[in-house]
Amino acid sequence: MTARDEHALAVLFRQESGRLVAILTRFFGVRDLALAEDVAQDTLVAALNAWSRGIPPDPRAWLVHVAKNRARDMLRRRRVRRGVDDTLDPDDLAVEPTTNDDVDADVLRMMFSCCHPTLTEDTQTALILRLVCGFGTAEVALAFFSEPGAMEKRLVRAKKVLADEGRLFEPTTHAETRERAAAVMQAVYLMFDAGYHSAVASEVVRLDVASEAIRLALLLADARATTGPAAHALAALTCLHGARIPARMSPHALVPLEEQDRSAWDGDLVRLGFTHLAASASGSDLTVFHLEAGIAAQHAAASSVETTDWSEISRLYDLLYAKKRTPVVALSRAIARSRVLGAGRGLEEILELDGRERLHAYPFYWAALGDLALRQGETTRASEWLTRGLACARTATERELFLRRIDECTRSSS
Amino acid sequence: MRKFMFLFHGGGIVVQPPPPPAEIGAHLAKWTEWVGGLVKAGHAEMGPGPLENGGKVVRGSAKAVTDGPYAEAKDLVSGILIVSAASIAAAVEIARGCPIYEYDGSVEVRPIQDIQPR
Repeated sequence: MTARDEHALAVLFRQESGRLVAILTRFFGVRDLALAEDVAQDTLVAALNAWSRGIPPDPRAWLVHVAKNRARDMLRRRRVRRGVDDTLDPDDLAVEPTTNDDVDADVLRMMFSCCHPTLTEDTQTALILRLVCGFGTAEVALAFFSEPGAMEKRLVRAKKVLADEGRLFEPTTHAETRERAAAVMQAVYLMFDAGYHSAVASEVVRLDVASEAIRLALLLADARATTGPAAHALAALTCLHGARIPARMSPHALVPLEEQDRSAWDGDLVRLGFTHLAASASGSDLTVFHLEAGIAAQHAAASSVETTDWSEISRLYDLLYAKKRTPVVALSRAIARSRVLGAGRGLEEILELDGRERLHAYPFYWAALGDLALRQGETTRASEWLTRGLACARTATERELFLRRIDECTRSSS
Repeated sequence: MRKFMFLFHGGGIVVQPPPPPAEIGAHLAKWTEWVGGLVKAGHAEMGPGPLENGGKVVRGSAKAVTDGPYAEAKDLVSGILIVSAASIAAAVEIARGCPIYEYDGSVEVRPIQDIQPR
């Protein structure tokens, strides 16, 4: 057994936890979310006990079977305690089929329920990570730069909102579903972003969060209630960015785009991304997801930084910046423009960006300035900026990136 | 070769609060590797299956029956395994490879008496 097997079982247990909670919540009702979570947890511990001598041939079926038995026992006991008024019939649990489609429907229902309009976008995303993806509270906290205690409180409050609603949200095709579908997609987008961009301590958690977002985006692109141009664009963007993760993170350092080994990009994910990008092209809506997927597609289609169509990328960034006026988008746009207009113009634009003071704590602002100055041969300025980047680097891998760059400055100036 | 009974106390199966799902999965991988390795090397035999956590306790001259055992989680017998080893020192060395210590568990190594008439 290797570390790889260990990770595979960790992922299996985490994902199955989410599926079990989704299945069980339909039986216990959303008011008894805690009970569903407890039974799911008990089931996984039972597997730890039973499987130490070997994993059964169909682990998923084993878990669902055991979880249902436990749930049935719970319902029977509750029935005895409360009298016959309980509307839940324990025997319903026995006849309930559990095909993968059924479980997907349960998972979708749970995702929609997590995106309750009174919760903030971040809380909706955190709740999906916890309930649908089975991340522990500490892991969810890491993904959001939060303390586990504070995150636990936030999750408890959010679960209470769900319970107070009294029932799970039933995704159909009516207007309310379409409204909430937008929130669900945004939550998956934020989840991917938390995995792909944010600088959390553990790389394993980041990768897992990003792969979960890809899995859920693909589910949304396929589900009847959510499928459409926007869902396909979201799936395309997570696949095309996700394909770069192995090259971007390997082995233990953050590798900039121009140095990435493009043969290490995940070819299957790239192909899947392009399939969804093609499917997203129907209709007249051009969403932020479309634009970001379009940018990722340009990178995926190019064999190197030099042969990349930077003027098309600049054009897409212009459109994106019109819809999403954040300093980070402005920075990315300026970097793309510097490939078209030259490093000198790029430097000027970045130094005059709207909201640049908000980027001063963002290490990649300094990385971009340092890179452009290096391209201009201005090693002194480059070294100064990279040193400021080093000061606000958030993880060991980011620090390593800056140290390597600063070293390049010293070598090329001597 | 002598036979030993390993009595597992506490560990991931009974620890409270239970670990998050991914940790349980990763921990299980270590168990299957450890037990699988022992079986493959002929050191462990597939004895009785895993124990359930609950049960009954019969106690005293009145033979009173209670639910249980409700020992402290870390003392609760959470599993058993029959292991063959050359000596108690060798058996202890095998026990040291068990993953149970990750969750504050312990392994009690008990030689099984050889009562064959000579």
